[in-house]
Amino acid sequence: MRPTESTRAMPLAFLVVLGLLLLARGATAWWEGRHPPETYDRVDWKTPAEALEVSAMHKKPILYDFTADWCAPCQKMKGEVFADKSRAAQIGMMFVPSRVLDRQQEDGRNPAGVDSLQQKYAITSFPTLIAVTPDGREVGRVMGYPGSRATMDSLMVFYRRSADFRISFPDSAPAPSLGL
Amino acid sequence: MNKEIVLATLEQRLRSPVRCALAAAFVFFASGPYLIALFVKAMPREIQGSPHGGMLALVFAAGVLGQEFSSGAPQLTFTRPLPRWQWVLSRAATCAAIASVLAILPYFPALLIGIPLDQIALAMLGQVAEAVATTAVVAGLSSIVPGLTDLALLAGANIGFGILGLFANLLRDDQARAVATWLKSHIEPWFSPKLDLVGLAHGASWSSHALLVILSTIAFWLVIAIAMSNRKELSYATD
Repeated sequence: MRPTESTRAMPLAFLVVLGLLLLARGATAWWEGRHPPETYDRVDWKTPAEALEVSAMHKKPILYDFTADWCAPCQKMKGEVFADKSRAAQIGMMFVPSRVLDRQQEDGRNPAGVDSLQQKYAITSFPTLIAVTPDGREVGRVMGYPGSRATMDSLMVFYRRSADFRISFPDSAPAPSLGL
Repeated sequence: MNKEIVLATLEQRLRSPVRCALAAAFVFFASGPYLIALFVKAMPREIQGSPHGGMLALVFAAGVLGQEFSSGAPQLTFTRPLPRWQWVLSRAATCAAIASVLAILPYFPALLIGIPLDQIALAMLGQVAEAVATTAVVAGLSSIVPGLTDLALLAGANIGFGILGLFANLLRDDQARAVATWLKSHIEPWFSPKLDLVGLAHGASWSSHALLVILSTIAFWLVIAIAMSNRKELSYATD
């Protein structure tokens, strides 16, 4: 400290930095309000093949999310359910989540695994969430997006239902194959 | 930064059994999911959201300036020609450092259960940011009110934001709901700074605004803390 400087002085640099940060805060708020960062999933999605393996290993039901990039309700569900911390954690606790992304509109065809799963579960619209036991038996489905709370309530019901199936699922059963 | 003030603050904060017990509890509970996952296969092996960075900052920074002014210690401290901003920054930085070091501890068990290193590093960074920012908020409030009243102020603010959030969900009038939501989303970050970086590992796009909210909140409250400390009239203190 210089001898003439007061001990109660406020360094000018602090005020300049604060001013610049506040300006930048306002500017980025304005910019990101017009160009919002992309919403993202907090759900740890597995590929269908991985999901079968993990499900058989941990005796957990699989939750298939049949979806497509162009589908607006799917994006809404993504933002309200899968991007939400607690909902995503709940899904991860109850199910082995697996996303089945339809690319028909963009690429003209789907990978074989996607088509076979869509046919197996007779998918007619997006989004469709289907809960299945580790051996592939369907325990329930949500068609369309009925809102975050209704979706989570349905998933809870499916999870409880799947517990009944799990009791009858033998420990030594091999992982079911869908030819993926 | 003043080395003597840093060491004195370190000793003062770490010698409090209540603070240490609370900090140990927060660290233990935050590491719980990873410790359990070491033994239970069905536990999800992923980073769990946790508020422990901010809570640890509350534990160590509560009363960081207010308690001093209430005790009369600064009157003696400032008999030396020590700039007050150095005293404020040294005390706040020490509390932030203690909280930051403890905030990253719960993630070490996560290394043992196979969570990717990048996710762990991002989670640690996020907690450190929250710890530093919360320390700055508490320091700012602590310079305004005496003793540990800063905790009461912060608790009051958070209860207020909770009620505002409840209104935002319950109000039927769209305009009133929009106002409540706007107020909550714009005022709350000044009191409860959060930085979620783990999303980046899941493909989230980078938000410069989120980082600037944290940085400007830190700068704002530290400037408030310095300005309020400068205003205190202390007998014996050099001017």
